[in-house]
Amino acid sequence: MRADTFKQLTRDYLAGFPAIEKDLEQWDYTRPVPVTQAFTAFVFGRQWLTASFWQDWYGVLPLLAGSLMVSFVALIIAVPLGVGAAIYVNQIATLREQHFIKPGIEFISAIPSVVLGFFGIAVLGQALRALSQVSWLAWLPGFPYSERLNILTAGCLLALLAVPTIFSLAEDALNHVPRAFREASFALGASRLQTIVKIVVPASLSGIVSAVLLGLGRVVGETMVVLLCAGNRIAIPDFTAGLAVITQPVHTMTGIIAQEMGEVVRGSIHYRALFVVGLVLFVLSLLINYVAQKIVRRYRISVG
Amino acid sequence: MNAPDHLFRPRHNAARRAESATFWVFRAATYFILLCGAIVFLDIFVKGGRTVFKAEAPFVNTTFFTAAPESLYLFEWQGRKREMGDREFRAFKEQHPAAASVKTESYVYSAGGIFPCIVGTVLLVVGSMAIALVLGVCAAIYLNEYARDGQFIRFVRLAILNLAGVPSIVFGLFGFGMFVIFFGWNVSLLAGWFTLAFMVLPVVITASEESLKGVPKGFREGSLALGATKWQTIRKNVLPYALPGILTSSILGIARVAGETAPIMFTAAYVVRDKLPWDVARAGDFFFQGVMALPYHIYVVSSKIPQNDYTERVQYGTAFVFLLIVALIAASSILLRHRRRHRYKW
Repeated sequence: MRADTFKQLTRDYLAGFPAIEKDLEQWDYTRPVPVTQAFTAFVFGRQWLTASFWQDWYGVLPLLAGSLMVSFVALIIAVPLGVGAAIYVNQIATLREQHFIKPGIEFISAIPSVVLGFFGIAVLGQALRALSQVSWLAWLPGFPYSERLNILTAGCLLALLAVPTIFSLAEDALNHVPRAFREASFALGASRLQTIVKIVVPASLSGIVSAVLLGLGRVVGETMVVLLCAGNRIAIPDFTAGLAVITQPVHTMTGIIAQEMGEVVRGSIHYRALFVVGLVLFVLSLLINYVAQKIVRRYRISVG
Repeated sequence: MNAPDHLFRPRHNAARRAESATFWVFRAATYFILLCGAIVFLDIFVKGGRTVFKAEAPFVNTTFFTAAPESLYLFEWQGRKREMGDREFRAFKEQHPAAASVKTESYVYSAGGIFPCIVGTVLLVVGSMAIALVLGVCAAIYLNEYARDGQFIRFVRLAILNLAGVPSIVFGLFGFGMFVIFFGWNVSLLAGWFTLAFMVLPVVITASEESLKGVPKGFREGSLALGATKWQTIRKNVLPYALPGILTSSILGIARVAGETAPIMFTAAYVVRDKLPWDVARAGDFFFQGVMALPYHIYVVSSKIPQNDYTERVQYGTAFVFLLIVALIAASSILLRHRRRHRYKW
């Protein structure tokens, strides 16, 4: 039974040969690859394979997916913390608290990214893995896992990098809400929480959203943390795993440039592909900046 | 309850409890951030402190600050575990010829110190900030004092604004293509200086423009009314008042320059280099040599060598020194800015 299937498959395979041979005869390898094909192969390519025995592939999708996944995890953590802290400092905290929280968070932004990356390798990677192997946490998606360096590790560290950016910009936005708005709300008998939720935050929402976007820009462009802590496996993460995808290792656009630029042959296709990845990053950061500015300008509250 | 019973006393009801619970959530978020930052600082300071400080007389590990990185050799000799740096081990082998065949374990960069890295980082920061300040202040003077508002100037401002958000690795790529290859400077101090300078230019230009704007219009008008030319006015009556502001804001740029690794990875940094930067045959060669730098050294020792008790020393020690330098620069920037706010009153 299985032998028959095997025979049939072999016959089908052999029957395919003439067509392939004809293709090969017609293939003129001196003819340049059309620009459109080169472009689509880069943008939609699912493989980034270099220095291989057979053929190299330069598809940006695995790297883009890695960059976006890491940034996504980082923002999930950083946005509530950063915006929450901004609201707390601006609206709730006493003056004494403000005087040490603000410089404290500014100080966190001074931690160089390579030091954070080293912290991830030396401490956080192991700590998170140990945490994942605690038995009563096994219900969490992806837990327990064995890869020390993965999306989650890099995401947590990037969150710490993004929090100061988001915090200081969001705090700025909250500061620009006119006093009269709050006072009017209080005069109508609203509580402090009601004023914050219904008046102050909506009034400064454009600033907060652009703060989040600029935080995203910071995270997408970060190099050393992802190079050291994202695991550096060049493959599109397996999204069929559901939420457990965040415990897989990935490689990122910034990481691949930093890792491969040093040893690439100058002028080769690989070399140019890395520059195009840099171009993609550049355009991405411009786009994020542009949208952030647009949002601030478009939805700014007018006081008058 | 000691509070006097009056009409406006806080009343305890469900809404109030919900409010205070929500406030506690916000408070927890804030202190959680500070806690995370503190954990990172403490971990590196405590474990790095073991390398950098010691219990005996000078209290500071002087070899760590004055020697170059070496390989560390571990071996058993006459029933005792020994660990030696490269040079020491070679001298030891000459003394005891039998030691030549002893089985050793070796870890690169794990002995010696980080003196060349400190020197390299200082050189990179000083040079790039000098370039960035000159270019940045000139650009800011042009934008704020001379330029008329128009299509071109608006485009320049937009470019500066957007350049601030460009990832540092893209600047590194640009520096690599432009300075290292196109100008043929190779991996050199000069290429690193210009790359880093271009990276902080937006910060410096924005800061300079802010403080130029802070100088009141009357200063310029008074000088012009006395017959001074525009350039004399700017040099004598605007820049001196704007300069302290420019410098304090630029310290933040220094922290960024010192802290970045990605731009110097392929423009200025060497993994290892035996000569110190001033060991050059001709003075001109000084600018065209690569250097070792602290951030790149941290990257190398944390990714290229295994993690264990012996390598941990140099890893944490380097991170400690680097973090200390950057944190001091950042702290002075924050302090100076807070102090300056009440300085000039016009």
